[in-house]
Amino acid sequence: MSSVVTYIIVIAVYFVAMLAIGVLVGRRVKSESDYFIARDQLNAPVIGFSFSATQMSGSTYLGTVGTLRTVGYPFVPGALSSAAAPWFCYILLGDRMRKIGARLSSVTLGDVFEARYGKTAGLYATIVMLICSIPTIAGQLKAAGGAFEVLLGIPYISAILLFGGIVLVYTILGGMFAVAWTDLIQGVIMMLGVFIMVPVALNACGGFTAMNESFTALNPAGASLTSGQPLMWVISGFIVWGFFQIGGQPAATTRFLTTSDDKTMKNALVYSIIFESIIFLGVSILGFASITMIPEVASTDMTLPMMIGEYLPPIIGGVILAAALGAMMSTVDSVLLMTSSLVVNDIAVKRFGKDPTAKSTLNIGRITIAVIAVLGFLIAMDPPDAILWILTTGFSVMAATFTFPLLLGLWWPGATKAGGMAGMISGTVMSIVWYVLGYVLYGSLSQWIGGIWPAVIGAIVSLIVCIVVSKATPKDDEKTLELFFNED
Amino acid sequence: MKAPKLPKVSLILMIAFTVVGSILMMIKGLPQNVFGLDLPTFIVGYLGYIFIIAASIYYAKTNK
Repeated sequence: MSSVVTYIIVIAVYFVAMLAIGVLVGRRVKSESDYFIARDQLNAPVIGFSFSATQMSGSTYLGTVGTLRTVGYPFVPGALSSAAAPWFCYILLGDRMRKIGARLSSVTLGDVFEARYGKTAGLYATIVMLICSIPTIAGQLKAAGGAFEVLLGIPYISAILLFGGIVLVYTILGGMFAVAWTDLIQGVIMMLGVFIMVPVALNACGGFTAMNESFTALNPAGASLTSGQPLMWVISGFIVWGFFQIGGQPAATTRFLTTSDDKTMKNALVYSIIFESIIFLGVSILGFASITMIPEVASTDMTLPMMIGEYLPPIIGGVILAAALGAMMSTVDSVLLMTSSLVVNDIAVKRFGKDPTAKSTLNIGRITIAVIAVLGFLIAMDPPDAILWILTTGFSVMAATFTFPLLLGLWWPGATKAGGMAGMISGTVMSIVWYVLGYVLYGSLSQWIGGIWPAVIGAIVSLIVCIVVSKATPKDDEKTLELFFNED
Repeated sequence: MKAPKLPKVSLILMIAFTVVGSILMMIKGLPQNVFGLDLPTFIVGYLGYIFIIAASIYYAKTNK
């Protein structure tokens, strides 16, 4: 049996399993709340793995391996910081969102913004999340399409249709139950992929020290933290990929609304951090080993699929490829579900008065999932070159818009409605301006003035504006403050 | 109205992680004699994961 046929069989089994989970767990959906957040019906491992699998994506398995290969150790702080994201998010955001979400029966992050900063702020947050989600989906589809094309010879367009179609079906059928449980299984497969591939990579290089020595010889500009990239690029990447997940990944942080139990949340953190650390450490080693194992690659994003093809028996290679697909699927399903919940809860129910318990309302959610998937597909048909940079645009704009207004809103009673709204708008505007300036000056979306990430500059402006405007405007009403600041 | 209690120890650990990590990124010119890497690169690239796991477990156990 040829290797391609074996890959196809393994991946087909994997796809069927994901669909089966969608159908089975979809039977547990009894309400809008069940469909979108399955409140208090998910345990710690499921929440932990789902949070992290959503946060990690095709950019982790494919994009990060490729970027580490070319950029080298200056990108490692970003990888470490990404692994640290659960630590920042659960502690600074998670517990507060858990408590307030339970009090408000919140379904979306838009709910939280509306309750704290008013209806306009809630609507603005919803619109930003909807728009920024589309590049995320396009990026994952591109990653999947490229991998299918390299390894299986399936034409790119057919591949993205097949991949996108599978995710669409199980997400529509099963909502958060399907998304979270498939995320857990995908996460386990992702870890299995690392445990299989890393020893193979180290063995192919002659050991850990030999791997690093070879990498230094072949890519001297990437041999240490300080070589090859502007210092501010390295440091701001270190800050962005961890801390700014707070605002930059609402599809992941929505998991904090799924439980009202403190112990479950804390245990979920431990699952998340161990899972992410294993993955990012693993892909780092794969990135550095790849330059020795596969000296030439047509596209850096295809580094891992090429390693799989060259070094692993097909059945095991199929499992690793399924792991990479799992990483992409776990992000796409969560983003699709989030956009659906935003349209149903924040727009259809709140703005147009739809009955949240009606089947027609849930159907609006299902239609939204399909529409957003199609928009992502249209971009993915002819996308920009690097997966990582497609994804970072949406992430950066959301990080700049949401991080500090959210943190200040949850921790500081002095944040006012005007301050929160101004903070969000200024963050959005500044991050977009920074991208535009970088494009005008350097002709690229991935090069910025001084090497400073748009998320960082946008968030700093957002923070300053939020505080200054809050200090200059009247305090919020006691009712809002009691909802948010009523600790036992 | 009662404001939430900040997890001070974890905040200090986060600041330390960010500051110390950033300082390590500025240190240049050391020999690459730690498994083929210079010491700051090895600490950030490989030991940093132990730190964040330990810090997360600490918070989960103590809420501080």
